[in-house]
Amino acid sequence: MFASLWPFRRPRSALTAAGRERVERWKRLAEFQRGRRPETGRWVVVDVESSGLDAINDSLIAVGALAVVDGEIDLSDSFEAVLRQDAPSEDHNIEIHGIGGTEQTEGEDPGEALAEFLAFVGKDPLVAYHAPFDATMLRRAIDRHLGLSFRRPWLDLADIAPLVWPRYASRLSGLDDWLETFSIPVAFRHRAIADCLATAQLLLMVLPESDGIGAATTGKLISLSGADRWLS
Amino acid sequence: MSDRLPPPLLVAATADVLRKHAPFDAMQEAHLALLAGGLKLRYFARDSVILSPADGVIGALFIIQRGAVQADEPAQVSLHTMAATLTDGECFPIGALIAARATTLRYTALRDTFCYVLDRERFREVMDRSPEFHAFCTRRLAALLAASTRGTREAYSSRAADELTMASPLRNALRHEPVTLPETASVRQVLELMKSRRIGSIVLMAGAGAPSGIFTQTDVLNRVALAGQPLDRPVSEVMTRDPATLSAGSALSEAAQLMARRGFRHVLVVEGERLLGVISERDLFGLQRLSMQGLRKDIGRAESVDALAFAAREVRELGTAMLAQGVAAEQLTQFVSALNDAVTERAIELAMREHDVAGTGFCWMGLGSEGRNEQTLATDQDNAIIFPDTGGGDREATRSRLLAFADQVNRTLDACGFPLCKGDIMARNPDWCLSLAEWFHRFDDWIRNSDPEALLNASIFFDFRALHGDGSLVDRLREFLLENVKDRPVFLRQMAANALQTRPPLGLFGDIVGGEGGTIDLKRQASRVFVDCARILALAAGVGAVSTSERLRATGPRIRVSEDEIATAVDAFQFIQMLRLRAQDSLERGSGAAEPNRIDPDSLNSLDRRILRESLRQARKLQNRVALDYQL
Repeated sequence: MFASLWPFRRPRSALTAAGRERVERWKRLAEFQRGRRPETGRWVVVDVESSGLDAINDSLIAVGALAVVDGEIDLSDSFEAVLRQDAPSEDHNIEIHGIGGTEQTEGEDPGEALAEFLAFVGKDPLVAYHAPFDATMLRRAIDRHLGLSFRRPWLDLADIAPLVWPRYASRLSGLDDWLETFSIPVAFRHRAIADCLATAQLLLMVLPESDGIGAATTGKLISLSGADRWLS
Repeated sequence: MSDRLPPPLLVAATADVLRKHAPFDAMQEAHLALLAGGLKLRYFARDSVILSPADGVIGALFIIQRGAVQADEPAQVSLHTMAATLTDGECFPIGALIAARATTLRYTALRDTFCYVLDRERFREVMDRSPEFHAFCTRRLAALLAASTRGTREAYSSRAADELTMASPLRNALRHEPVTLPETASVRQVLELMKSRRIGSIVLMAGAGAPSGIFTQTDVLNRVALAGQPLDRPVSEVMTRDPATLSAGSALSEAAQLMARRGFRHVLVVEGERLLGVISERDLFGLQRLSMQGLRKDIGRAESVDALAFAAREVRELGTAMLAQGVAAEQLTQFVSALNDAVTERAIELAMREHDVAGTGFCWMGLGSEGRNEQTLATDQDNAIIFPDTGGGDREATRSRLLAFADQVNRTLDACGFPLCKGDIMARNPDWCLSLAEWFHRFDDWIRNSDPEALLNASIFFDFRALHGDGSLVDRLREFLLENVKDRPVFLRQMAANALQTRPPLGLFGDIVGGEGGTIDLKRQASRVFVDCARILALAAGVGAVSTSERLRATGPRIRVSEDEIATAVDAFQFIQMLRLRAQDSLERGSGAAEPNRIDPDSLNSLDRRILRESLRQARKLQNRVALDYQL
């Protein structure tokens, strides 16, 4: 709690050598090709769970990520981490994501976990539903624990899905609506990695339709979503 | 990249999705996790082609997560092409993947479809480790047959709508909530509950709330009353532990098979961890027997030829209804045979009221398909009489009494829809109403001479079975046959040469080659191949079984053919029998071809055509085995 008020960044030395190495390697990675076809290459679907819905003040509890490579979800190409909290979030919050108090206080070291997250996502474009929330939570946490500016291009399916299926757009607003419309199953809603899997299936349906909304390239598709403002 | 393991949740959630379907529901936890951990998920928009022959060698297995996929032959331009539709949980293209070849079918998404994809390496690994998965993939014919049975059911569904069939899920057959007690309850408590609730079984629960045993009415007698167990003992000492369990989505036929195979009378039905109820043998067979037993009573009570003929017609209608329910050909022909036996028996009883033949000690024999329990719906008569040798000169007197009696039986059967035999192989023919010694002599003669006529007779008369009267005569005749045939390799070789004269109608490239008008004769070109080969193999191995399936199953281990291979051959034979039943059924309803056993392969849907091709291949394989044995 006090830590978030501390004006200085967390010292780098708190990371293990392996963690530092991951961060350094990530910095050197080349950017993805913005000109590639959307249905090719690697996208990383990301979902976060937090102590509340305030992206500025609430803290990041868990992060899940799942890769879509060449239009294919590889279940083994996935990532999930529960970040250690100084104190558990409130009960009504726990009821949403199901990550209990003990699991929160015994989670992974946030710096190490986020370094691994960086290694997992690389410099590939990120995908989420309502991306600004996930993007902000991650940007704040990575800034705080790794002292790194994490401004990445995000594809926001909340913006893209209505473009692809305009006839549904007026009726559907939340992720749950889209999942229901396309009968996409979710094992545990609001469990980061399970939400990633559901969101990734929505992405699989979107990618072949890119041409139909005038996005022949990955860069163009991302630019159609308002979340592109997070691109540095 | 990080070297951490993928989150277990994804694998577990995927395994849960798969577990709703065969064969995944039967796989062990660890094997299913191995499979699920190797999966990728792909999306195919409606109308997009998932796989086609142009894709070359198949490198992965596709499992439909949700959606619908049509499999058809791209080259086929035929009005009759009725493609197979695959839905959630179904796998393709297994054959091409195992054989590392291109697929012969084209797979198209009928609606937006998600498929899991398992690459060949992991597929092989799972096949190696999981016997259940291995059996599912290698016994493709059986799997295809299951799909075809489903198709049969759909085709007939308008006639058999809303009935609870052997293919219905167990969940639909449960009649009440499960009645349970903790396993610490005393035997007395259990008995009291059984009595007050008037039920035949109680499920006992372990501390954790999972079923740990079952106690049934039969157990009361065997394990408590007869064993002299005091009633205050805990029931856990006398209950059956780890009772058989099936998931609620399993078909009634699976429960029936489990009971038949393992000798259980009760199976627990669960959904996930939750106990939904108990299904008993009586629940299952009540379904079929309602009509079966009623019919049997009608037959047994028929006081006139007319009444018997009416009941016999109902047997045929029941056969059609069971065909519609997708009852397997083997069971179906057995049911039909059993009821036909009852008709014959009643015809004999009616005739015996007018003919005093009881004193002769005769036995009425069924021959040919009737002898093998393989009667289809349109069967003519093949029967004979065997009677004991009494020593004196009254043999001819006995024979003439039996002939007069047999003539009446044969005519009654004719009136009941079993036409008189064109070749006159009937008990009323003096040539086939013989004493035991005469039969010995006749069999011996055929085995020694092995001329064409002898071989033809052998193919009918060697498939004999007692239908009414003293069965020991028939047993002695069978012993005689097995003893004598084994010392006559020349005879068996002649029989083998004969059996190889008709080859299954397969072309050079394994395609089905039709004769006149593109049709094939299912009886002559397919089922007889199995029947003849099975007879030869069984006689050579000294196996006394008579039905083709039983002959193959009993002979397999003695001639070192694996259980799987035998099972596949039996499936193939039964599939052809089923096609014959279907063809005869449509003939009766006026929509079939003029000849009951001729079908046009192009009139089959593409799935059934594939199975027919595979079945004919099995027939050829069996012939090759016989050819090898006799160096023909």
